[in-house]
Amino acid sequence: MQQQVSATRMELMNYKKRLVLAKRGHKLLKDKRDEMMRQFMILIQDYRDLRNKVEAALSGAFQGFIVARSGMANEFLEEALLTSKDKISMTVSKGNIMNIKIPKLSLEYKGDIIGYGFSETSGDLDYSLKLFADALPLMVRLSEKEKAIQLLAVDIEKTRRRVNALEHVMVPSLEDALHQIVLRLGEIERSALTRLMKVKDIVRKH
Amino acid sequence: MAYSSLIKMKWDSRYLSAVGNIRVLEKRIMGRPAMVRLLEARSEDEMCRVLGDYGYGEFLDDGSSIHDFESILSAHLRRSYELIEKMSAGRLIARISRRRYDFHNLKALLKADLLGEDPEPSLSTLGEIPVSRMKDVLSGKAKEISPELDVVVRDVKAYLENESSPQVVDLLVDKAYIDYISKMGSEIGIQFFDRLVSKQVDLTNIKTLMRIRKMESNRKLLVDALLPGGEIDNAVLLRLYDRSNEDILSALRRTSYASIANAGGGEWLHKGDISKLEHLSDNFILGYLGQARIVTSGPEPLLSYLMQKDKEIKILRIILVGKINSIPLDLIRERLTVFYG
Amino acid sequence: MELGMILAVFGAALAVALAGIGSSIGIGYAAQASNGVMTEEPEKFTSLLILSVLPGTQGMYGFVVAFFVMLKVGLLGTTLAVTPAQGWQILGACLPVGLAGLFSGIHQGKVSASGVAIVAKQPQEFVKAVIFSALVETYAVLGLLITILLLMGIQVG
Repeated sequence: MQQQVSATRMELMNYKKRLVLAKRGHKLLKDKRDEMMRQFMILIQDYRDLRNKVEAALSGAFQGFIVARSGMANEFLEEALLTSKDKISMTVSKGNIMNIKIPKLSLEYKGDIIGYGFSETSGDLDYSLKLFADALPLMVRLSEKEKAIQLLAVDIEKTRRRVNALEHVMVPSLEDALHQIVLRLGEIERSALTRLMKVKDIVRKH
Repeated sequence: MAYSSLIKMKWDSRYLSAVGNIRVLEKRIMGRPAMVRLLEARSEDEMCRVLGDYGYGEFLDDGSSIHDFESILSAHLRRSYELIEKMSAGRLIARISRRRYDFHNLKALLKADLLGEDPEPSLSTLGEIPVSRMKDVLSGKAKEISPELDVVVRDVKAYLENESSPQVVDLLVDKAYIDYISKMGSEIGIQFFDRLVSKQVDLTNIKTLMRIRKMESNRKLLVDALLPGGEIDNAVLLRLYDRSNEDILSALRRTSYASIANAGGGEWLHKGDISKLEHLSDNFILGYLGQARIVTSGPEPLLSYLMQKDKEIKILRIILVGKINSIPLDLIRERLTVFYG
Repeated sequence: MELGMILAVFGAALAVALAGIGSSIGIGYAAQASNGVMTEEPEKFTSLLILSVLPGTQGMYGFVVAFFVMLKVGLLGTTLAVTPAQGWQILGACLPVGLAGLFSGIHQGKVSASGVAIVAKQPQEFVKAVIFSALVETYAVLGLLITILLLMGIQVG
């Protein structure tokens, strides 16, 4: 890339400094990116495990629910599920991974999910609701992980772009400019030398 | 199974023709072979055909799908109730069975009212008292529904003035229902029915005890949840609450429900699963009702028929829900085995 | 009419009335139960009819005995002189068929009504239901037999 640079020694020094900075920045950012990727992979692994767990829990709960549902008339089921005795509250606090802010969810679960009478309902229903209640904290953790992964991914992307910009644009263009300055300075030097020789020659003839 | 001493059944010639009628109708109750046929049906058409053979045909036409099975089942059950009512010429016994749904509707309305939810999906069409009348009473537009339900409304409202646990609404209404049918039972003076109620109360209480223990709930809930009028004293059950599972089982083995404890207790003890116990209790009650077989003239066979219908519908629901949700056939078959022993 | 004749007529009347009451109650039970079955399965009419008719025999026995008494005391032709002692005897002789008919009729009706349930459920077992019902019949027949033997033993005129 051709750019307009003034070919002075001052400028040369300047560019040299900038190149060193850019290279150092590039290395740092690359390290950061690598570390972020590592964290990301760990998170993904966790997430995958958790996801499997949640899926197993939910499919168990749904299957239990179908069994319970098949044991009761629809209206009786609806009536039983109108209410629940539990109180759920969720609070969000901030955590961080590599200086990225991620949400931390904490779930407070009080009481019992079962809030119906006993003579018209079945033990199967108790069981399946219990499974759902057990799946809830897992699901909250899963969503927490998912959000963290999302945020981390955005940041990795940003860092990666910076690394690329440094590596493929900034550094080459600085090197290019440096090279030009060196060439130009050489040229100037050579032309000064030629001029000097020429002057010397003229002076000698006289 | 042992049903303690023989129960006196009175000869009541008013029921002669009804019982004759019931004997024919009983043949059309779906037994195990019919259920297996339904289970193994490969298409929806085939399922409809099986159902059609057993008196569900008239609710199946005009292109209704098997997926609307809830409405088909409840329409069929409704017709059975109406039939029994007609047969017993409006005598109390048939109406008592339907009262269950009235209490249920009231319960749903009270709870929905408390929470501001829509009660519609929870309402049963099998009740005898129009829901609109209950709604009017709850909103203060009308004064009374029927004596036994008015008492419930009053009790629940009085309770809600101090506390507001919707679960207790259920418990109060359940208790009121049992109170009502035991009162009716002694009023009509049919010993068979009296015993039936107290056995059902016992079995429900035992199951409640087991379920509440599993919930890590408190003792107070059990105090509230135990129904009155069983053969086993509630104080005994409350004492058992603090004992080990083994103690509960061995206590049960000393009651007339030993057969249930023996056959289904292990499952509960080791896996904490009470569904087998539940089915065994249902079967116990049906076995008890089976004594009505010998009755030529009395209301007992009518009750027995209704309960058998209940069971039929329960099993149908299991099969249909299972098939619609494509649950493995073996799993459904396993549950059928529990029902048919 | 003398006392003897009055007692004889009273005896005949009792035989018919008691046995008739028994039969009509019995048939009533069985027929009601049959009607219940008929509402669903009218094709079982024949079997149901036989079961319902069974408790009717008692009434016939009573009728036969009454006729026999009438012949005995000549109510159908020239009346014979019946002494009070003979009158009491005839009255007593009429009681077996009357009382046995009354009770066996009612109970046979109940048995038949239960038999109806068998016909409803397992039509092939119909004959057994009839046999059970006929067991009750035995005692009405015995009553009839004794009544007739007694009547034959009584000399009138």
